[in-house]
Amino acid sequence: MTQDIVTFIGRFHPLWVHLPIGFLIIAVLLKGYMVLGKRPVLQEAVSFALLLGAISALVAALLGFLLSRSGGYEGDLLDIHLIAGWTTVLLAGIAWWVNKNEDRIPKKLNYSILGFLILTLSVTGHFGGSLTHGEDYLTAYAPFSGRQDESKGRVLATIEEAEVFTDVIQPLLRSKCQSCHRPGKSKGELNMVSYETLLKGGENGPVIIPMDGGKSELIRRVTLPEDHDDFMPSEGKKPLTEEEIHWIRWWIEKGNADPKISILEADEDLIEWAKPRLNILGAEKMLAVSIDTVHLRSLEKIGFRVRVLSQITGALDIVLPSEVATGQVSELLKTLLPIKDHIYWLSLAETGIQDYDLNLIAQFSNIQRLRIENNPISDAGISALKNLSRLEVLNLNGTKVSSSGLEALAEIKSLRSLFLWNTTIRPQDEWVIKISSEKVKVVFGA
Amino acid sequence: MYEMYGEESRDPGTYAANCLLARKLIEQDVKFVQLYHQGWDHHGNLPNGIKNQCEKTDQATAALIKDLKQRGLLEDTLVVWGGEFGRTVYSQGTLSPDNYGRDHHPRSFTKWMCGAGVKPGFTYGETDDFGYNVVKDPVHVHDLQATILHLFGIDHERLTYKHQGRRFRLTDVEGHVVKGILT
Repeated sequence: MTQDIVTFIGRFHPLWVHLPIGFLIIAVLLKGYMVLGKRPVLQEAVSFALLLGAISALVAALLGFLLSRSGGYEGDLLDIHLIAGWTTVLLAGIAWWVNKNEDRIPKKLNYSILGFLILTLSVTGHFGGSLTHGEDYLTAYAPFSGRQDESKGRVLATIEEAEVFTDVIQPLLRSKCQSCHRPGKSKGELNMVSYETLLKGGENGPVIIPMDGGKSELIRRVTLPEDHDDFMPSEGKKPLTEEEIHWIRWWIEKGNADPKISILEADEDLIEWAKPRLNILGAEKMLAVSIDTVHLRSLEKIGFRVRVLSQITGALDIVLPSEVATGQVSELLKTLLPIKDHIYWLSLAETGIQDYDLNLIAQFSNIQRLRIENNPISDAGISALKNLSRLEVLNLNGTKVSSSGLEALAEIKSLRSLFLWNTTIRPQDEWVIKISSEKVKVVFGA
Repeated sequence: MYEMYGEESRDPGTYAANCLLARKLIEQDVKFVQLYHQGWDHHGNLPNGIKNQCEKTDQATAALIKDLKQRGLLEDTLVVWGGEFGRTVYSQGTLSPDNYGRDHHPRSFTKWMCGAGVKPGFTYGETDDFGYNVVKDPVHVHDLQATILHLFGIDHERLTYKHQGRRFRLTDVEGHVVKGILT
């Protein structure tokens, strides 16, 4: 019972703390006005405000002490807040005494004390805020924080890498539960930031019973009627969505609350729901950080047509118009080297490229669509392209290639469309029939 | 080429010549090409009218698609063919073997699409036996617009423009991408 009274009184702390903050700040502002504005008559008001500040700070500190006894708060943050708080009380008291006997104390000492008072007051307030709202509350959205998109988890190369706990459960706990259930706050003595502490449970025992969603307190709390006292997240916070609950239930029941279980083990509709929420970039795209836009502008000045296919991956569609290319295509191609991994589509139709230029293009390893039609290209150059392992569409209309030269292309497993209009190759050629049977669509003239 | 698009394609201003022009524009990387052809409002004289209209459009349209395909341009070009409404399945006005008409029918009508990003060779959606109402997989105009924007690489829910002090979407507050027709 006394514990309840302690908690009840302690919870007035967050309300009360604003009083000393206000009193002490107005005291210092008045002092500043008094000195700079030459209004000595204000000294009495300064002393009075400091007295109010010191008393209310003392009350705030006592209430805070009671609140910290009521549990749920611990750690470095609390220690710093506590020490800074009592220092503020002490300094406020000293400042009051000093200003009351202003004529006997050196002015510089007086000012320094007031300066330190504001400093400790700020420190106390800041760490108090961090305790209530979370350590990164203030800076999370700051422009310099380098914050990743919080709604998405870590960056993955493929969906195969995604784990149910790390990539689905954790992010949703982070957004819906961890503002209260985290180190330093641990409401109900439950800390949800790591797998271990989550499994450990809270003051009422474990919250997750592997294989048994019905007995898992976590599921019970989030599925209660919203007006029930035990309903989580507590009042005023966003409840979990049906899908989120579905996922947690699946993880506990079918996934045995296994921290490493793959997302692909889950039901189809769950995977479908999770997919757009994962941060999957694809292995080759993870390198595609930022494109050098200055270089892109210089390419455009030369006459290249540049189009960004995806802002996320930095994939580019590059077109070199034939009228720009005239006579200098080899040199122009070299200007593409700095962005070679970003080139996904490349069109060099009728630019006069020759076999040896293809050796350079072979370095653009992410190319998916390559248009090199109507150029004096022959079998000798084509073999260089066989290492373009992501190539899907290749346009060789109006080139001098032959069936035997194209055999090298069979190595490109990703190839799905091949254009051979106006070449010596015929639909009935043995090679064409063979490659057509391997899911490559070969297009000749209509 | 003229043979493929039909004799009329030699005559500037005809639909066939426009088709040929469209191909040339697309070949030059033009982002959006729209071809108009009017005179489809057959409230009367349908048997003759539709024959004439098809003569002017059929071959050239097919040629445009084939031509885009053989040049590899259909890989990243979407072709949409349609009007703003359909016509009734029942007739309007006088009814004789060589003269009758059909009224506007916006409730259910057909478009076709081909090229980049859409499934080839199938139909999507169904009407009742009288072609009056949609009974399966309806696609609203906003759905079609959302789908075309999606194929352009634009999220129709995020693309907005400001008009009279507030932001508008091209699809208003409606529209769903029709996933069933995408590859």
